[in-house]
Amino acid sequence: MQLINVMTALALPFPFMSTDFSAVADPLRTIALKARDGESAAFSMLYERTREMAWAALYRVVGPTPDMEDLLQESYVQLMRALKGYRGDSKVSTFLHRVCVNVGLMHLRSRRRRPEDPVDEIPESESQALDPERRAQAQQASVMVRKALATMSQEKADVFVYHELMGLKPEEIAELVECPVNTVRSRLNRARVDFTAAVTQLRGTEV
Amino acid sequence: MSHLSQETLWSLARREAAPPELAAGDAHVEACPSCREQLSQVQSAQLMLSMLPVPPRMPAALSRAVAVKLEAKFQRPERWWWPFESLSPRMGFAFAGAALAAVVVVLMAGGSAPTSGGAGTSSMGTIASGRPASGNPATGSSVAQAPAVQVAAVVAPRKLTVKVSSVKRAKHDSTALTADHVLAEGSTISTEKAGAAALELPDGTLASLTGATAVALTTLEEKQLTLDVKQGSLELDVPHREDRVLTVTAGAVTVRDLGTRFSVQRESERVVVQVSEGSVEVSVAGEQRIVHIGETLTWANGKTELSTAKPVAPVRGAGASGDHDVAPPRGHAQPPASADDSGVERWTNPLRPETEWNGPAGH
Repeated sequence: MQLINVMTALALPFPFMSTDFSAVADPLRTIALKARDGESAAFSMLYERTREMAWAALYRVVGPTPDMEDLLQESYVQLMRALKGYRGDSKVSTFLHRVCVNVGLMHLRSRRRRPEDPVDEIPESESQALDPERRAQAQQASVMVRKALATMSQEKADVFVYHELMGLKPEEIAELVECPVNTVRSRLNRARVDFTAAVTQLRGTEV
Repeated sequence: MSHLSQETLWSLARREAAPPELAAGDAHVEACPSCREQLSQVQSAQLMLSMLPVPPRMPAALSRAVAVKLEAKFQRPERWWWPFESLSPRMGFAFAGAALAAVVVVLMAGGSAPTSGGAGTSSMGTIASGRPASGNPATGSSVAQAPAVQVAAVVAPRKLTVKVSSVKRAKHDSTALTADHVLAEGSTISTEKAGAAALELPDGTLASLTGATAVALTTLEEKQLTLDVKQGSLELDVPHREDRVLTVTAGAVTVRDLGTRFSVQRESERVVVQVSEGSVEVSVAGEQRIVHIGETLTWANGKTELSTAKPVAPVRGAGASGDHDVAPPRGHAQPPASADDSGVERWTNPLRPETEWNGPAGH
């Protein structure tokens, strides 16, 4: 038992486990396992270590929004649910990215169903480095991208966000969405077509 | 001419492909209006993506606010009704169940444990173990323990027992009776013609059976003690107690103790109740009469007669052999019947040895 504890603490692979070494070496693995087992201190530590990651992922999907606090909270609630089945054989950041993208896209779709909601503006504090013209362009781009994403299917939107907004490679996306790399590539091409068409339509509408 | 794939268009727009591929793509776009239009749209889409603001650092206030909310959500026990975080409800209920069982065991053990005098045990323990319980006739301690098991008594009356103090030539049902034998409710004690028996009832009552007597222990409960004289003579020394009723039946005659010494003698058609101390209530054929000290009530042939005559001796044959070597209960004298020089058999009241009897009535 003591050996197991030491190996778990050092994030070392057990000889009887055939597992992904990158996942086993994940520094968040031990913390996530403890958080899964109900240690509140471990959950607090997990939040401290991953909050910037979650924030960035959500921001890339939904942009600046006053709902960010609720979205972050919902992301961690879903993370904890996902961790209940976590056995330490995949990276915690994978879990978190997937959860944040799902929460973000769900938010965009719900916004699409409620067009009366005001358009989120980039807060002054986040755009001090931008000149007014650049800031207006960023605002317009943010709105348009989110609207385009909201029109896409879940599968395509997932792959598109992972690749175009978060910069993940098809191989990494394949792990996240749990499907072959070739499937990811074809899904990404179709997603690009849909996104381009949506942006073109939105630009034509504005004009 | 085939058009460029979406992947190639996105690569051309970003200029990410190898130079030969870029050159070939540019040439195709130059010659294909459709692909040129497609490339323009892809460039616009990519422009939108490139203009997206880079995520800034997470605001500290937001980080704290989310942390507080998450802490409230996850650090609160999932089971809000369970206040012990270090103890799971399953373990808690197990401990509580064990504690409850221990309390029940202790209560039951306390009910059957000896009192300070060590003389008495509760019949609760007797029932549970099947072993006899004894009472202290002098103090009535076995009855005094009643409050310890009153809860059980509400459900079902406690069944008490009777201890045999001394015995000679007597039987318990069909089994030979011995001293210290413990008798349960329903038992019948019968003495031979030359026999005798002394009993200690659970309330401290001392009962003496002379020869050729049969007495059934009809009811032995805390609130009710009933003895049925089938035949012969039963004499009782009864402490006065308000918390129970002692009744002796003899055929149609029912005698209820009111705190006294009395005897009940029964022949086939005759019952004699003689009170030597205190008083008793006698019921015959729906009629109640109080028989006081010194009085004798005789019921014979359906008629009741109350007299203040001398005490009536035991019915003929009861202990007439004079072979009374049975040790009496505590406080009792040897109840011999002896013959004096005149040859007249003299009787000694087994309950009051100082009282000399002239012999059975009509003797």
